[in-house]
Formats: sequence, structure tokens, C-alpha cells
Amino acid sequence: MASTSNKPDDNRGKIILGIVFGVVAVALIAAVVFTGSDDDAGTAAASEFGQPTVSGDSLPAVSEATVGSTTDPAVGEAIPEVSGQNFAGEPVEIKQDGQPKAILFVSHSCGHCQAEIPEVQAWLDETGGVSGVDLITVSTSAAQVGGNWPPSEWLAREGWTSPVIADDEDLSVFFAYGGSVIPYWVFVDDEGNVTRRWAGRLETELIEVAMLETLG
Amino acid sequence: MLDLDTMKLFFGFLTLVANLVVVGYLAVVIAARWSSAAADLRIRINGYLDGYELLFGALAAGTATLGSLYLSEIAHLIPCTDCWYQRIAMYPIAVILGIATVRRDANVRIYVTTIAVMGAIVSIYHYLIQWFPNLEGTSCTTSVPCTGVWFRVFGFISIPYMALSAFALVLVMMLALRSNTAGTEDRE
Repeated sequence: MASTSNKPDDNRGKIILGIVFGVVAVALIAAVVFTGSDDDAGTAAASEFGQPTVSGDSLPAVSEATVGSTTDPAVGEAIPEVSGQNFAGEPVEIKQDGQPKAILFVSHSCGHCQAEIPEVQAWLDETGGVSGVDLITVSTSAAQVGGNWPPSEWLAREGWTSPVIADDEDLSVFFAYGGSVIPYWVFVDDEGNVTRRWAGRLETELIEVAMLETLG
Repeated sequence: MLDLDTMKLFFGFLTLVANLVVVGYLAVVIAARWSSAAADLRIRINGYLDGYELLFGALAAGTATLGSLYLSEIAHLIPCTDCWYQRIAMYPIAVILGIATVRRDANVRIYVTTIAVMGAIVSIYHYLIQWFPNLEGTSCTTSVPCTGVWFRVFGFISIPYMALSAFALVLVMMLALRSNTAGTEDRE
């Protein structure tokens, strides 16, 4: 058996171990000193989950084979209607109300969602989006132990202007719309039928095309 | 009990210390190729480390192991798939180096180096997709997305960065062990 070259010297060992434990102690003390008191932690949790009610038939689960295609079995299907709340508890709805719409499902802890939101907001700020097409966001798959918590602060920080429905802890809205991954887009025409679904990040050019498609 | 914010900062400071050791040691090793003063310094540093490389490696891997267990079991930050791959590499290193420290068995260097390199590669990939999610597809699962960031201490130290720092420190200790073992064999 090859052994390390020298038998550790007792004095040198004590000095080295003293340095190691000293560094650890200093790091721990510094961490305690520099950690600010965070009395607000967790206070937002109650409003990060909504209590949405979903009515109507659920859409079939989105499939990798047909996502983004007109062969998607959800295309032409009526969307489930949702009565929910935003983070402030104010009512926000997704209805078959004669208004074309794009529905975006995002999660605060998803890196792709974190990248998608500012891109879409920049596009909205620059162009105003597509006239006549509403954009509604569903904050889903929220978890207090997840990164970038809470979703309300994340979206506020990004200057997100679209109305938001807070999904519940069972992801009821997300699953009713056939979601499997996020970000997830569902485009709906004025009759309340699905025109296209996309799973994953979308370039704003594609979002614009899909929105225009909802206008017929 | 210290709260998560304090522990994150604590781990962040330890990570910075590990980074300083790794960067400093590698800088000396590289400079030693051209500078006799740096070569002398390298010999002196290796002399200080001689006999303690396994212990320092074990401490680095052990701290990373305990830290990851704190984050998942006490702070309840659920590990993603890439986190698990890094754990698969880190945990045995802690055990192997712990035993090797007691037995003063330098033969473990090749095993530890191999596992640490594999773990470091996963850490680098995980860290990159946290900054550039498009490197890994365009979507996240609703469970625990690897592109998600639980936290970034000082704006850049995320969990895979911490793991990478620990793997790098282990590798530097194995490098020092290699130099010192070779030196001993030469003397013998």
C-alpha cells in the first residue's frame, strides 16, 4: 500500500487544523453577522396559491408528437373555464367570452420561465402585443421551498403586466389545460376553442404568429 | 438553529475560501513552470500540505456532503436530477477519503480524481444551464427543474457552484498528493 509521503507532523498538523477550523468559525460568524433579519419571510405565502374553480372538459394532455401542430387533438376543442384569483386575491377569469386569448403557464422556479417572462414583457412593451388578443398568465407549480420564491415578487420584479391567475397546489388549472411541462402556451380563438398549444419557451415572433392565428 | 439564509451565507463564505485555495494553488503550479520563485513556493506549499492532502480532501467532500444533506433534509430544498448526479459523485469521495486519511492510503488518488472529475463536469453543466436554460431544451418539468436556481449567494454562488468548488478543492488536494507522493518515490 502506498502511503502519503510523510507522517504528519504533530505541530504542523495542529497549526493547519487550527487554520481550517478558524476559517470555518470566521465564516460562520460572518454569516450570522451579515444575515439581515428577514421578518417578512413567508408572509406572502398565503396568497401565492389561489383557489381556482375549473369547469368544462379538460383538454387532452399535450403530446410531444403533436405539440405546436394543428394535429394536436386539443385544437378545435373548447377550453375549460377558470374562475380564479390573482396574488392579491382579486378575481381573474378565463372564459369563453368571444375574446381571442393566449394563456401562458409559468413557474417561478423554472429557469426557462425565468428567461421567457422578461423577453415577452420586453416584446409587449415594445409592440403592445397583438391587438385584440388578451394575454393571461397562470402561475403554476409554485413551491415555497423552490428557488425564486415567491412568484408574486418575481413577476412584479419583472414588471409583468399580464393578469395572473394563481394556480392551486394541485396544479388544477395547468392539468385541466393538458399541461405537462412549463412554460406552456395555449392559444384560443374568439369561440373559445384551442387554435394551438406550445410546450416550452417560444420566440416572440412565434408568439405573435400564434396570436394572429387566434384572430382567424 | 441557524436559519437557511445564514447557512446559505456560511456555505457561500466557505465556497469563496475553497475558490481562493484552488485558484491560488493552480496559479502557483502554472507559474512554477516559468518562475523559479514560484517553483520554490510550490515546493513550500506542498511541504506544508504533505501528509494532510487526504485529510483536506476528506474535509472538503465531507463538508459538501453535510451541506447538501442540510439543504435537502433540513431546509427541504428538493434536489433535482443533476443535483443527484453530483451527490452520487461527492458522497463516496467523502467516504473514500475519510478511510484513506485514517489508513494514509495514497492509492485512492486515482479513484477519487476520476470520480471528482466526473462530478465536476456535471456541476459545470448544471451551473451553465442555470444561467443559460436553452442549453437544456426549452422547457421545465413541474417537479424540480434543473434550470431552476434555489439561490445565488453574492449573485453567483448557486448549489452546483458550491459542488464544483468542493470537487475542485478535492482535485487540487489530489494534485498536491501526486506531487508529494512522486517526490517521496523519487527520494526512495
